[in-house]
Order: sequence, then structure tokens, then C-alpha cells
Amino acid sequence: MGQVIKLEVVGELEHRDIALRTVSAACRLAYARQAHIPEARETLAYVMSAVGEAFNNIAVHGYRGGPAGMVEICIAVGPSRLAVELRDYGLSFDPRSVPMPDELPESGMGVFIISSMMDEVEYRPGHPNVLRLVKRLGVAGGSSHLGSGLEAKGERTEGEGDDLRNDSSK
Amino acid sequence: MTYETTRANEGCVLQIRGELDAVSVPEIRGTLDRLAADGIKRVIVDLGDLRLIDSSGVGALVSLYKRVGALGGRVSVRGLRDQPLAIFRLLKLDRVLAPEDAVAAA
Repeated sequence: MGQVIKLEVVGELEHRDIALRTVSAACRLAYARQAHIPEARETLAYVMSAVGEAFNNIAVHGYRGGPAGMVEICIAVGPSRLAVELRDYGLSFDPRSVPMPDELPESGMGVFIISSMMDEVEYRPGHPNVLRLVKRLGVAGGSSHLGSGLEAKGERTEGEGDDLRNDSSK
Repeated sequence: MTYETTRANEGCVLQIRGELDAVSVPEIRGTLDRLAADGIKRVIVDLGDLRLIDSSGVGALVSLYKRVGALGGRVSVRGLRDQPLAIFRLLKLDRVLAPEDAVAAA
């Protein structure tokens, strides 16, 4: 039987730690029931990395230029997978418009980290924007081909290069 | 995040603890800028007590690496583990910024 944890926080960087600590606790809850799985620390590192970058994108790009809206986070802990869904009401973006980071990147790594660290990634622009991240428990590593796992659902929007979000959904 | 710098001769050890992320990078940016501008020949960034790093933190360290290198110096990272190690490996930065650790782990 799975468990669902819901959290709603302000989409500002200062509130990111609240989201990450909750996700971290959910990961530990999932693995507490599956102590035989040796990849717990690795999976926790992957999920924390992906959710952290996703929250950054919402706070820095999605809610830029105005008062921050809310981020609704739903964490579903099942016997074989951990799913984290983030909903925001800010600017949408086209993940396919974000180039791969270069060899010595100083920015533009967020989408690559998200898609590489998770097993399933789905983004639906709209109101709200919905980013769904899934990690299969007991499976080390991210998607089989790094950087190409982030799939946009719904209508394609125009990107702005390194700046992940645009105004097309507003 | 907390950090401290220890200088010796032409070198410097920068130890960063806790979380180096979009929230904390602005707190350490001035120190990184000074290290980059001072022409220090050897900078060792000790991340043994770093719990979490994000793309902003990585970007700050890569920027330091580039700027110190442009002045003829060298930056290396040591002590990577857990989530920071996963990020560095993903971005293939462990081989560039932490070559000693990468060799030890091989």
C-alpha cells in the first residue's frame, strides 16, 4: 500500500529547503520498508538533486518578475517507485529548448540533472505547470541516455535558451 | 552553509560545509571573487563536509576553476561523496576538478 505526502510552499529559494527535507524524509520512509535495497543513499542523492533543480527553476524562472506563487508538491511512495509531482502557476518553459551543458558549465545544468537523475520525467506546461518525476526503487542510476529523458507534454512553447521559462502560457 | 579559508604560502584551502546551492552561493561569492582575483597559485576546495550541491554551486566552483586557471593557478576539489559526488560524476567534473579523488576511486 502506498502513501501520499502533500506539501505546499512558497516558490522562493528560501523555502526550497522545506521541500527538500520533506522529499528526503519520504525517500527514507520508502527505503525503511525495503532495507535489503543497497542503493538507498544513491537514490536519495538522485532524487534530492532533481527536485532541488526543479524547485530552483520554478523559483528563479517560473515566478520571476513578480510575487512568488505557490509550489504544490505531491510525493507518492509506493513499493517499487517514488513519484514526486511539482505544480506551479508561473511561466512555462520548453525543456526541449534547453541545450546540453558544455564541458565546464557555469549554468544551464538544471534540466540535464533532472533528466539524468530520474527514471521518468514528464512536463506539462499550463496552469498549473506540472512536472512529474519518478524514481524506481532499487534501480541505481538515471535514464539510460543522459540528458534526453525530459519529455514535454502538451503544446510546444518557444524557449529562451539558458533561461528556462517563457511567457507563452500566460 | 559555513566556510573557511586557510592560506599558506601561495596556496589556499577553502573548506565548505553544509549546502552550496542557489540560496547560499551569494554568501560565498565575495570570497570566491577574492580568491580568483588574488592570483593564488593553488586552491584546494575541501568538500568533505558538503551535504548538498546544486547547479548554482557547481557553476560557482567551475567559475573559480576557470578564473584561477586564467591567471596561471590551479583549483582542485577533494573529499567528494554522496550527493555532491553524484553531481560531479554526472557532469564529468570529477575528472577535471577532483583528479586525485577520481584516481583513488578507480
